[in-house]
Amino acid sequence: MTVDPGLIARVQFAFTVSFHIIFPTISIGLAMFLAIMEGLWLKTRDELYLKIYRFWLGIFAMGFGVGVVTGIVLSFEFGLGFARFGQIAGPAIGPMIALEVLTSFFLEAGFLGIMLFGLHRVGPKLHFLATCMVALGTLLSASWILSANSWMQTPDGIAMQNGHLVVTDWLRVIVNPSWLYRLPHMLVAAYITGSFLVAGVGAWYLLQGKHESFARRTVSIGTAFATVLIAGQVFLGDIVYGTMLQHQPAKMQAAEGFWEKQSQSPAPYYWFIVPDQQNQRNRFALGIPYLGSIWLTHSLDGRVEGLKNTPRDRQPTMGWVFYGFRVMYGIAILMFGLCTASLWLRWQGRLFTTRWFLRALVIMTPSGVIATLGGWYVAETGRQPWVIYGLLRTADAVSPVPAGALLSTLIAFVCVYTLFMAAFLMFAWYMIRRGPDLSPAQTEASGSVKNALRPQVMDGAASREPAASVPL
Amino acid sequence: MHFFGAIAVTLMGIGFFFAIVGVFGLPAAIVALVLFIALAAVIFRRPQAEGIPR
Repeated sequence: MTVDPGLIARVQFAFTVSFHIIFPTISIGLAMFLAIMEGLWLKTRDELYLKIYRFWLGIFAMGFGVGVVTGIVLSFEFGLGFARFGQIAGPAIGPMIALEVLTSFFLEAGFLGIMLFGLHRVGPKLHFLATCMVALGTLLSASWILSANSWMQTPDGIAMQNGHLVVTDWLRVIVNPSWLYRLPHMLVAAYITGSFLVAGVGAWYLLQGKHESFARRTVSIGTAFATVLIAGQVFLGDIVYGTMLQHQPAKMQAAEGFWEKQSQSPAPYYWFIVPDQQNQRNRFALGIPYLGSIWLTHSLDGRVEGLKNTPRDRQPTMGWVFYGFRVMYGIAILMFGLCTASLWLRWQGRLFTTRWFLRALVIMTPSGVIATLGGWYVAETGRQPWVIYGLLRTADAVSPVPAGALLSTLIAFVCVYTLFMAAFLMFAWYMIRRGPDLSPAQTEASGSVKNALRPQVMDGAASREPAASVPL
Repeated sequence: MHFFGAIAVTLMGIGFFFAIVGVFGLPAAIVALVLFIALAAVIFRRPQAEGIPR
């Protein structure tokens, strides 16, 4: 049996990048949340804010660590699986990745130690500065990565000379046509992820009847942030949709599940399809009548463009793009609905006492991560068959590496990453079950994981003087 | 009372969603977004009961 190295290279990158994006999304969201919590603590001196900060700091630290480690792997994979991409796109992509390291990694590395271990060692204001710098670092990191990825989606500021890519305008490479829209979309997605994570854990405590003052505050703050952010995200999402429709029509044609050049009028909004790419049709389609025209053309009888408008050799695979979009959009609708319900319950004063709502929040705890993954599947599978849109096909970007080498490394990545995920989930669950009262006053550098989990270490850390009493 | 309130809030939520997603154009989307956030900011200040969830 002959295995296509290009396919394995793509599966490997898809697996590792899908795993990786979970953790930066969590750490970007939590870093901003932590900065706000510490800022509120400094302003009000309310110990509850500090307790919330200390509790979420541990989970943030774990997510941050796994995110950095799995992100480094991606850089090496450019060489392992996509050397030709690196060779051609290097002049544009390379400096942006290097600038990410210089601006955000250096900032994060410089201040992360103070954030994690410095609560008792530096003054509260300097510690707050460290938290803000780490949050800024995560934001800068996202900016550079989104700039590089957006350049692959909408390349600009370059020219091809003798088969080599030459940068003609750096500003247009960095501020390419889709970056200004995709960056806020991704950042807001990360902040929504953090908000639902925080609110979901708080809701679980309320349902258990534990840590009630902590839980009420986190449910209140989490749902408030989520409400404002999801409304903004729905607005931003529509603008990103319009931008991508202009620059990558094939992606949005695939995302809507229509094949014919013009859909029927009025167009339904499909939620489930069985696409047949070979015969350019749907074997089965289930949708809501009129809604496609209303949402996509803003009229009651508008027609929607289908994938046959794009030549076959330039079409993405409809199934991936369609279901990626439906996962992202479907979850966004659920989030908006739940946030609207939270406003109704708040109006009645029943936000903390309505069991069905708290249960729904618990179920929605990982929803931000799942929606973000869906969105990235739309972005990446919708760009196919190009790796740099309109310039370099994915099939031409693959390294001249035997399939066996790629397969063996893929298996190794799956094994190691399964361990990473198991460890992250296990420790996160341990911290959540332990609760905020036993969270150490600061993260302890204990020397070993086994030692860190001993009860006397936890008890000792928890019984130390609170940081509020440390003078400036 | 709760039933009719829930229906009214659901319809308002759907209305806001359609407006924010741009069905009535960009200016209406901006107005709806600002209105939704302003309304939410007012509601955030309401005091909440602290009993056992039921």
